[in-house]
Amino acid sequence: MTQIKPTAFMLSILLTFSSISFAAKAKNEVEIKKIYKEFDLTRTEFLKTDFNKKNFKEKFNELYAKLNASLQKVQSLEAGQESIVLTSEGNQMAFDIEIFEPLNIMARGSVSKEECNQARYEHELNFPIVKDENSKAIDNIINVVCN
Amino acid sequence: MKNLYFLLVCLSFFTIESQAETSNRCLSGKTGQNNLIDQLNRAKEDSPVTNLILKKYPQAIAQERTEAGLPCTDCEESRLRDQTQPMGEIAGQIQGVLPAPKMLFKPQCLNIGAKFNSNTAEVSCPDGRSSRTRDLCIDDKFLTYLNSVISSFYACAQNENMAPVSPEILFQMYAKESAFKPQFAYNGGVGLGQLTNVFVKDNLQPWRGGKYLKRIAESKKPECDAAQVIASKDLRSAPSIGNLCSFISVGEGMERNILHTLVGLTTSWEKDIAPLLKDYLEKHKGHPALNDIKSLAVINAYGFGGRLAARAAVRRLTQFPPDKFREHMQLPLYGVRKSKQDGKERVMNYTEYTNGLAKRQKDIAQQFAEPLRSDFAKNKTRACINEVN
Repeated sequence: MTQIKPTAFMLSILLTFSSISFAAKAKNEVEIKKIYKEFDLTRTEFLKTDFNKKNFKEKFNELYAKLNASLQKVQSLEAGQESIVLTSEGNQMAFDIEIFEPLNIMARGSVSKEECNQARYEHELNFPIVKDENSKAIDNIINVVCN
Repeated sequence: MKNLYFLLVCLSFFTIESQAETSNRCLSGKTGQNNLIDQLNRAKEDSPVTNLILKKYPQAIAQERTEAGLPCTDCEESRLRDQTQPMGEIAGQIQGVLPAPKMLFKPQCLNIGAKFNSNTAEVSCPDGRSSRTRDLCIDDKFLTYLNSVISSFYACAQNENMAPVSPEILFQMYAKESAFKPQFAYNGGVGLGQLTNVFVKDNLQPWRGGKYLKRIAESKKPECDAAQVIASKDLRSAPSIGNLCSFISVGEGMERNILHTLVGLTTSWEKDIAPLLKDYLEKHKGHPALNDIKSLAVINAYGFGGRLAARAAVRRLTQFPPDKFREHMQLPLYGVRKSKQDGKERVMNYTEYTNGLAKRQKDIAQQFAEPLRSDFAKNKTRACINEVN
């Protein structure tokens, strides 16, 4: 009967564990990328939606819950690893949700004149210098819903 | 005999030169480019704000020298005594019965921090002339006065519950923004805290910064007497960043710049960051890292990414315990998409500003002599802060 040397045995156990953990990490990374892709698609489609005062709250609240749930999912995948790794996808999602905050002010309330002014002002503070296409799209939503 | 006469003339010239240098040794800029020093001297004569500050911090004038360059111990005090202060009070300060409050920053740190330069133009006041030569002289007396303004306004802010950032972060911010020099300005920022048009306008909105300006204007705290002169004035007539000297000139402009920085940071904390951190602060109440987290989260909004990046970073990092949160505020936090920044397309780093502060501190620390160098290695920027009495 062949005897396995203790050192070789320990080494093989170590290798097995590290490859399992490596595979889990890679799987998590693939999953995070997939969630981000869906998140980004939902976000960009929302920005193209036709809004009016009537449908805004319902559509926005649905989107906002969806985006936050995606970020939560990414954060729990990150936390599931040996040490939490902050992925750039998760960072971008936090930033994109933040861009929608002025709309959230309106959706939480009654889209009053005061709330519209606050949303417009905070959106301007978010983009003081460079107005990118996201900024212009949100400008447009505030104008349509508030006017 | 002729030779001896020549030697005497040379010697006397050398003595006068060296005395002049002692009385006005530039830590930055060129000897003889005295626009800022002249502004300070004029402000001592006619600015109520400067006089209120010097009354509190008489050590800011203690180094004054006579025209011959010799140390002057009582000339400024006697002038102030005549102008503004009851005899007993000033006498107490001079004789050390009522010790003057310590300044916020250690002078050695300011002197090193001011040796760095900026790439932008510098502005002479009161004429507002802009130049790219960047040679206005800053000496230790000027920095002492600047230190007394920051100390005075920070004490006021603390007393009015308007100091969301620590003195360490304030030191780091001024070191990075302008290297403690009030005269730099460009389209993107003016003066000591490199204030922008949007920032100043936000300070004047009644439901945002205006609320805190008003708090200072109506303050009953003696620490706020100098700051409230400017706050009241700005509430009556809004200052414009387009008038560069109103945020640069010594006597009111540089002081306004400091006041507006503190008001803007308070606004940013109260309106933008605190609502996001409220539950987190409650959950970890009493943790020693919370003050640092608060300071770093607020100051992060001061950078290019503004409130959007700062809030995104907070949103992202509240999943960590406080020690990790603080650690990650000083590490890069990159997104995915590229966006236009400084004219270039690049991926955004949501903690770029706090990362930049740390880098400038590293550069400054390399120039420190012992024992400050070791103290800084151990305690970081805290080594540059005086325990204020």
